[in-house]
Amino acid sequence: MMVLPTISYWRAKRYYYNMVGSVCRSCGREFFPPVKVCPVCGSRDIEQKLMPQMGRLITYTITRQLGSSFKRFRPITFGLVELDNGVKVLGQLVDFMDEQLREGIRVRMVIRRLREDGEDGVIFYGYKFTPDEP
Amino acid sequence: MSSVYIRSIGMTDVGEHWERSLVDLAVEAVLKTMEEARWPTIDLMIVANMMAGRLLAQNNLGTFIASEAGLSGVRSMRMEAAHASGGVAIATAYSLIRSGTYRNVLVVGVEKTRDVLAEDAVEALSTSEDAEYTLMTGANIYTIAGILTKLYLARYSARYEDLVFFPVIAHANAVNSPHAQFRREISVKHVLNSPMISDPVRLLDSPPLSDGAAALLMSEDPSGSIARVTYSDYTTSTLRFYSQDDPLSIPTLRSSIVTLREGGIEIEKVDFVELHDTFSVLAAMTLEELGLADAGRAAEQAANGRFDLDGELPISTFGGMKARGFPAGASGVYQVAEAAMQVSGNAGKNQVQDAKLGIAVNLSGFGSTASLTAVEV
Ligand SMILES: [Zn+2]
Repeated sequence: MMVLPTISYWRAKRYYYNMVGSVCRSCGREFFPPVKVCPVCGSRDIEQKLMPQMGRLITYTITRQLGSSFKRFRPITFGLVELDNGVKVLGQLVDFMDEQLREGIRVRMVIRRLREDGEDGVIFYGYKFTPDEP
Repeated sequence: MSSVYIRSIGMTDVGEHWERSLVDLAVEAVLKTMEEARWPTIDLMIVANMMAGRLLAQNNLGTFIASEAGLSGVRSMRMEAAHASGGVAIATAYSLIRSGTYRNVLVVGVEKTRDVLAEDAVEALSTSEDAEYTLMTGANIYTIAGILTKLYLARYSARYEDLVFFPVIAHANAVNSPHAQFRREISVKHVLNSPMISDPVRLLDSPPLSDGAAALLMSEDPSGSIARVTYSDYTTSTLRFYSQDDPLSIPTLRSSIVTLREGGIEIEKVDFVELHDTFSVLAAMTLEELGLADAGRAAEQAANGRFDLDGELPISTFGGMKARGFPAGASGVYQVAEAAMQVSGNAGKNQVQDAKLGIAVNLSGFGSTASLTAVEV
């Protein structure tokens, strides 16, 4: 059982590595994940855009019941992050001490290993977030 | 404009059917329904199912179940809209009958989640979300429920001890619900002492894994019918709950209320609501989005008894997703069958007094698809 076929991962890889999203050239709104049609104004005049690496932690949760692909990493802390351009992203939180985690703190995007595929040894990397405060 | 009638219903108990297959369950529900209606000609069968392809390696359910139930040759297909498959199947049957395309449509919802490991079932249940950008991070439906619950409690200064009255009410209603998976009461203390699955959400505030099948025969023919469907529709939005302007709103439901009113049904007049109460926060969000509770007050009202079976607005009258059980793709069909039992006066000990109008809300994920069905006497 897999959470995502390996080939889907390879196709979306550049978006995971750099958080490449979209900007709508009609209304100016930005999106991540990337879109093909603007969900706000309906325009198809869309450009790729690198998302800001910094944001604010809206809230977080520690998930202790995980699906088969991630149960080895139990528990995992997830944050809902608002990037500096207003785009909201869900991702893992890493490299923190418990007392650092508070709603509202600044966070920075980092690239980390998400998981590896046991059978063919593929390692999946992607964005996570870490506190950017002393 | 033609009306749509429910001529008969049939269901299996919800629970762990170790000795029975998905097809066994579906056929039982279909045969009960067809016997009760004395085998009318079926123009279309819609099988509502979310996970058989992934968990049981079985597709082509429309043909498979029709042929096994003695309906070989009938048009039959499978409908998948994640946890809202049942509600979407019913809405589709409703529009096909109202438009005059078909006279009799048999809807059967079926799900089998207990044949696999729980961790595989959780991963499959989470496929209502975006595989590439949500599930790839490791998140699942518990993660999202945890985040939404935290946002809800913070925004409204609500108490989790109040919010979890939703599973307490669901379990109380399941005690006398003949087909429910968990026919026992629980207390707020039980919920708060159950294992944390994604804080602040506890195990007893999350949907169970369930097997079950339920069927409805929907028809233009009023003869011998037990209830009427007076509205059934659904809308879709985005799979990414967090990218909406307000993750605590269910915009799909908001648009349903407008069309419900245009159809002549006033939401304030409903006698009971079958809720998509997989997580307490979704029960609260739904009641508030429908205007049946003020924003941020649903939890407190649940604690004060407003939604009890003998309260002002009973909810989840046979146990809801939490205690009747959550056979995902079938759950919306159970809801409407239960609503039909209520308005026809066949709800036994769970009868809501003078129940004339009930609505069922069946969501996928956290409201990416929202279906709403009104059932009247
Ligand atoms: Zn736009």
